[in-house]
Amino acid sequence: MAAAFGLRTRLVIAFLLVAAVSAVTTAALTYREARSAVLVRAQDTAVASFREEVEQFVPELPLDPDALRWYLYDIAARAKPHPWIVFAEYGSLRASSGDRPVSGVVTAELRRAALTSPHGSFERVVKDGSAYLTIGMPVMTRIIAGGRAVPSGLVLFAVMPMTNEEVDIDGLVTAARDGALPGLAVALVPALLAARSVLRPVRALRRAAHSMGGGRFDTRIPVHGRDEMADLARTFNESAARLEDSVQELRDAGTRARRFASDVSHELRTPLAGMLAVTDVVDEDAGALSPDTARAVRLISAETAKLAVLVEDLMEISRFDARAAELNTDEVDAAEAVRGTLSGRQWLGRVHAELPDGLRIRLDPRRFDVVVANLVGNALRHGAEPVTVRLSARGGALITEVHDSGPGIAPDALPHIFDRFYKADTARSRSSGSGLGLAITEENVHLHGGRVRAENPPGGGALFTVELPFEGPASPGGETDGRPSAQSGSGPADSRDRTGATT
Amino acid sequence: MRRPAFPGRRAVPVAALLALASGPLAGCGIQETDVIEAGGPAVADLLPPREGRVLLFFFSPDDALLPVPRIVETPWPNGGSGTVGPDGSVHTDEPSGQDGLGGSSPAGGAADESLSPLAAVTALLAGPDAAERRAGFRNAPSLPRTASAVDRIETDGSTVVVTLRLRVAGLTGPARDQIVCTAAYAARAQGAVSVSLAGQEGRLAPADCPVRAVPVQAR
Repeated sequence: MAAAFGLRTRLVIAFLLVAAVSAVTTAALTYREARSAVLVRAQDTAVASFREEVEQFVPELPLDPDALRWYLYDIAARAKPHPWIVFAEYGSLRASSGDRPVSGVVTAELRRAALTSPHGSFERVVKDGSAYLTIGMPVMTRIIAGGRAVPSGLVLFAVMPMTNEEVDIDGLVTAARDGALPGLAVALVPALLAARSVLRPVRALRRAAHSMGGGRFDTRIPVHGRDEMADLARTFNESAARLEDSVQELRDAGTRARRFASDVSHELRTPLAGMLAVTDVVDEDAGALSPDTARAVRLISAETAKLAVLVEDLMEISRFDARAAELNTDEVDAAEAVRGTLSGRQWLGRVHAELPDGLRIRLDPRRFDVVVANLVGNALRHGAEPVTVRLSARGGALITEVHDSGPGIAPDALPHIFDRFYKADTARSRSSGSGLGLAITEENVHLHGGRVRAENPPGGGALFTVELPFEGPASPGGETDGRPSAQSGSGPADSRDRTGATT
Repeated sequence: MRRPAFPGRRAVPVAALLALASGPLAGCGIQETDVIEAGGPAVADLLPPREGRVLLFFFSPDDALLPVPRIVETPWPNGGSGTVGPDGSVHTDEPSGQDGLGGSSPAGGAADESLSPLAAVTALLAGPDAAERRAGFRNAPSLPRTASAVDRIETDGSTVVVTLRLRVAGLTGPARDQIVCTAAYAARAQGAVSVSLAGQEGRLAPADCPVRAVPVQAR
């Protein structure tokens, strides 16, 4: 229901409304005053001149009707400011200067007032759309010259049409209207200027807020003046400064944590390499040892190998965190790539592969190998055979599906299946995987600008689906758009010798 | 940007503004008015002048007590017999000229400009003449029609005493007012004197004429 008006429109409308109200009020008040002045002048003139004329022609009493009529003609001939018709009452005598002896316009109230009060009085009457001024004038007679007076019983009425005043007043209305409308048009200019002065800081604020949302926490607004808008800008700047500090602290903490993990895994790598070499040798000689010792030696050997894998995975994750992971793309045949992955790990016999030819895609072969190997290895380890790998093309993306026939993924684990060190099967806490395999898979897929998801399809088992766009990642940043990338180069030295599937 | 309940909030001030603006606008053109007093009445000297008329007080058709000048055909330079009214209903063989204080003076010396109160009251009792009747003037019903009902008029201190040959208690208020006013204005130019009516059974308390001469501004 909210009206679709912008702030500018509303401000301008409010301005114009105020201007209109003041213009109309002023015009109306002026009009009223002017009208009143016009009417008062006409009335006063008419009443005064009527009294004057009446006094000049007071006839002898008692009145003779014919003489009275002539007397009225005399008064009517001297009408001022407009022609009037004069009516007279004396006792039961009625006479007028017009056609009828009694006026139809003079009201009973005016007649009573003129008969009973020793004052002249007037009344404006609107009859049949025309305005008339009716004047009642009792005549008093001085009983001795210059002395006191008594009512004579003679009452005169004048009826004067106010045609000229009506014309004048209509002219006033026209003038008021013609003055108010241009006034409104002129008011539009300051309205627009004022709206602009209010809107400019608002617009600056919006731009600044947008820029902060885009991660540029050093955005500040210039503060002008001391008004409310300036206060708002100042508050915004202070908040932005505090936000910048907080974000910087968080970033620093995150960077330190990632560097620590990276450094630790890096430091562990050299001794582990040595240990692996030793365990290989010891493994070969295990047959010569006593059975208990041999079992212990093999355990050490296996755990050391797992530790090496874990360290490799940690380093890989560190590189992703440090944005140091690079994409070395090449155009490959998807089916061949998958087949290479399966054969390299001796899985061709265990995995049912549906690999149509001709799906050529631009991707990083090493990372794609890691993705496929992790998903298939995961399916073989946690799901149950048969495991199916299927390639297809849909909507501009290469779809790689890995489907096992196991019990599927627990529903509550499904949202976290790609989290680091997340173990769906808590009972088997000591799984053979590092706990980082699926997380690395997801990072690799995102690096390609693709998506990976896990689900339990209706037919049972777990289904992992990877979508990779054929034309490669849209932008180098991939899905990390909008996140700070200040840590480039802070990661460990790039290591490209990572092999093997880990889960 | 959310603007909850925008029209409802805006409607109230808009209505108020419109009401405010329409107040002064109410009624273009010329409006009717009530009856408005505007200055005094028209004032003129009563014609004919005092020397040539008496003021008789009759009732108008609207029951207003009004002074009606009756032209005296014979001027009244000094005390003498005068004929009041064109119909000649009253012939006063009044020996006395009336002095300004209204008493009937046997000396008949100083001539007053007014006719004697006796002549005026006698003329009043004779009733309105033809012209006056045409204008609707009449006597109060209880006023005796006989001009001879008035016996004498004399001044008793500051009171004019009108003695009638009838029972004054039988006169209604309007009838008494007619006699009082006529006698008062005949006795005093401005009518400012109390008049007591006396009859066969006694004398009524002095009364003032209800039609008072009021000062009017000179022009």
